Amino acid sequence: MSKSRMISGTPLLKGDNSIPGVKIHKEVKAVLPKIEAACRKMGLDYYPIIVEYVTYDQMAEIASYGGFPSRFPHWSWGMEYEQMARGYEYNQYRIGELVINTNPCYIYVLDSNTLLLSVNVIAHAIGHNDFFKNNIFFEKTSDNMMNKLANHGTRVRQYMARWGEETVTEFIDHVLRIDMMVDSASAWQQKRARDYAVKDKREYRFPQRIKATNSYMDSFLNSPEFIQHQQREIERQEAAEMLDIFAGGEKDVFRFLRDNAPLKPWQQDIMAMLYEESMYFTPQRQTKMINEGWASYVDFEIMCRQGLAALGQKSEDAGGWEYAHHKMRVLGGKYSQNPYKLGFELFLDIEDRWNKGKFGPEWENCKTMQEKAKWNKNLGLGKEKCFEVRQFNNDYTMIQQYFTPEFCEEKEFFEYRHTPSGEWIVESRDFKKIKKKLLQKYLNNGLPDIRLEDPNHLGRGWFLMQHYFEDKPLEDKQARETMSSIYRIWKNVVVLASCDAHGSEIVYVCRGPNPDKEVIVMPRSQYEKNYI
Amino acid sequence: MTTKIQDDHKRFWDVIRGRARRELKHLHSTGQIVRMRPNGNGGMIVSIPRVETPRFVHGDTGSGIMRGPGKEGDQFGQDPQPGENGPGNGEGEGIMIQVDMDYILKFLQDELCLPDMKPKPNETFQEIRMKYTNISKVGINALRHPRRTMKEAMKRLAMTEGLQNTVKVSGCDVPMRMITPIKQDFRYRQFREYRVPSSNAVIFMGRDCSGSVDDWRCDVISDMSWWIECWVSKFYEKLERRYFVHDINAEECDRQKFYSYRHGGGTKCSSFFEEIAKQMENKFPPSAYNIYVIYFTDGDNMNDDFEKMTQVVREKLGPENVNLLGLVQVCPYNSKTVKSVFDSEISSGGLHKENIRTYQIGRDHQHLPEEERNTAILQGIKHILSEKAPS
Repeated sequence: MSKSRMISGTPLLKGDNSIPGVKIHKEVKAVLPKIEAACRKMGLDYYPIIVEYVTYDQMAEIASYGGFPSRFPHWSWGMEYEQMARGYEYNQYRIGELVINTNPCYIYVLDSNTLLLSVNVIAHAIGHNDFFKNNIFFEKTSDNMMNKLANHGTRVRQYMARWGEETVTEFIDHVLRIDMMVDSASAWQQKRARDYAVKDKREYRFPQRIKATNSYMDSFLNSPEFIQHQQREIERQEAAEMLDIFAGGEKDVFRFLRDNAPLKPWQQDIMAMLYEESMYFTPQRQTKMINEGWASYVDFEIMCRQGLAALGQKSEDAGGWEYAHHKMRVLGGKYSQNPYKLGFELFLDIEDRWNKGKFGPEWENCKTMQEKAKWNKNLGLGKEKCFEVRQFNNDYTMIQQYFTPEFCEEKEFFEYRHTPSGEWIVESRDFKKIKKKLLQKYLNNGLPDIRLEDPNHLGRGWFLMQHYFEDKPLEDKQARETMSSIYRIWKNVVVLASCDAHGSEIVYVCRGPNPDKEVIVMPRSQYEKNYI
Repeated sequence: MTTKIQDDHKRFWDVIRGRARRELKHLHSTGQIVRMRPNGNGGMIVSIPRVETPRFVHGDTGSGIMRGPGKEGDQFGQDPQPGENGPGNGEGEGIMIQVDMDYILKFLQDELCLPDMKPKPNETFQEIRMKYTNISKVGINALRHPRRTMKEAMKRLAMTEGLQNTVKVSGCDVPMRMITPIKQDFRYRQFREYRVPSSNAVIFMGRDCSGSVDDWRCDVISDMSWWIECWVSKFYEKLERRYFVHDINAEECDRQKFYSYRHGGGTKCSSFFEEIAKQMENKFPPSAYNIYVIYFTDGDNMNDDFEKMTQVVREKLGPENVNLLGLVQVCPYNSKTVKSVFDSEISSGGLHKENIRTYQIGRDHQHLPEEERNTAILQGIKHILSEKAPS
């Protein structure tokens, strides 16, 4: 293991399921080493696995807790459970497998899966496991999260016993509404304790030099202009700190509220816990498509190309049909564009291109279609490239780099428009427009980019946020509700500058906790006239 | 064993029922699960309550990315038009009833009954009910009877003179008497079976399957009889069920055929009532059985058949023989219908009004919209199977 991050004190668990209490089917237990051998042959590098068989209601329980056995008490888990358990009972949903980002990695498999499905979902889950271990966006997530979340549950229960269940739940409800307003990049920031003491010590900052591999590169990388630029930045920052001015453009609204909102200690603690949980789940939101695509690619590789579909079956050629049927249901048909399908096809496309050498300036400068169609340099770099892609990309960057005009045309993407009279119309097949729309869908995890501009707006302690408008207006009703929740946490007026559907600037002003009466929407000009 | 999720599940239902987090009331919504019926004849939608957590999200801009064939400017889809997505639309797809299962079950339990059930001489079966009134020496911990257990322990100690023994308990200076139950002392609650005598009863379900009953009416009839059957099989386990379809002639059929059979020829309602009268002579004598008849029709009948129909009902299906005759009429075509004939006969005294209940779904030749249709179906079931005859 390149990264040995184990839970201190516990021995590293082997993937042979010799742990008491873990249920696994006899037939699957027999073939598990073969699956693992196939995965290693493919070159996957993953945490040790523990396969556990669960019934559908246990599966619904685990799934509704986000994959963990224990979370803080809250009704929303019950809601998810209701949905999933009922859905299974009425033959609507079926969660075949569930895998979480921990070390060792637990793979929950539904006990009603057939042998082939079991083999398939274990291979699929190992794909996820490999992704969790290697993708850089998961680098900073704790792999001891199972214990942390259970401890959060204990702490919340204590607060409930002390302050009342209703009070605590109400606060959690309000915090959960802003739990996606975090900056995924802040996982890489240095953790710092909040400084409660009066600022009487000065912290010395220096321009950071880029490390150069060779000494002669140093003068190029760390040019005088670069150093000067950094020096200016530091001076500006220090001046701002001296005057206690907010530097602006804070994307991590949740963290700012956690650190600065006027809260009671137990509320601060709950904010901190939920912030940690949200940060833990952020990379999963960022890599939904590529993660599923990679896992689908892995199970395709193992089941089809390595032929494990016949594993444990009566004959060599058995299982192919069932696997194909299952795959069709997961990927959702020819024109589906669910994350599984899109990711899977992108990986296949990348593999094909790098196998045939369809990249680089030579390929891009080639203008004749005939030549392009026959292009084959027999490089065989496909698999290597796929491994590289899964390591360094998230959904957004993957589409940005590997969604090519050829792919777009071959897979018949188009931009649609839904008219007010209820017709769905093929708007355009222009590659640039399609790619822009697709990127917008994955930009900022598909959520509006809202940043805190000034926590002391107009010198009145108002909370000014700016919605960075990308042709998509906010959903009005939900925006009002969320504003009122921020009001309850910040306990002062909350202002949000945004745009409406036509692109003209509007301002939401929340002056109280009631979302219907006390949230007012006005054009920017009126806001400036009234308040500034 | 209660799992953690059961606690959270209960919390969720508390929110839904307004016992906790009442401020979230305006965020309640319903999700849906579609379930096909076991016989493949249509489906129903089970609503699942949800409470959405509001967040800053994008609104719908009415454009996006999809995949598929087609040129620029082609139309590839259409929103369902109101009224068009009614029942029976689409081949063999069937129809949906949108209901809240909890509401339905409560409704079925509280408001419906087979009216006028009489004791009959040859009671052949008994229903078994269970009550926890017994005590046993073995059992599970959840059913432990602490008081009886302690009593047994005290008895045992009294017999062995162990009551006098004192034990030093930590945290207390004075030695104390201590009663500790051992394995033999434990007592558990246990159920006892009670046999409740029940009366013999049979329910005849009949439907018109002539050419005039179109898909929409068939679906309404299937839906309504399905709900009645659900309720009967849940609350009257041992009730006999018999199915009939008729056009000019009536025949007894199995359940499958009753739900799926469509489109025959002409209509003679009397054939159905005659068939029932025949059954009552042979298999189910009224002296031994409580008899319930539920009949579905579209109101159409041959003009010369009305006379015969009322005659059969008057003579063979009087209140001394039949406990209830429910008539459900779905969207009649003409003004002279089975129901109107029944009603006028009842008011003129030609038929007995004690055991006949009639109900009509839809006013004229027109199909109802989805919502109205479903409420009409439930109202109809309530009308026909309520405890007292509705005035």
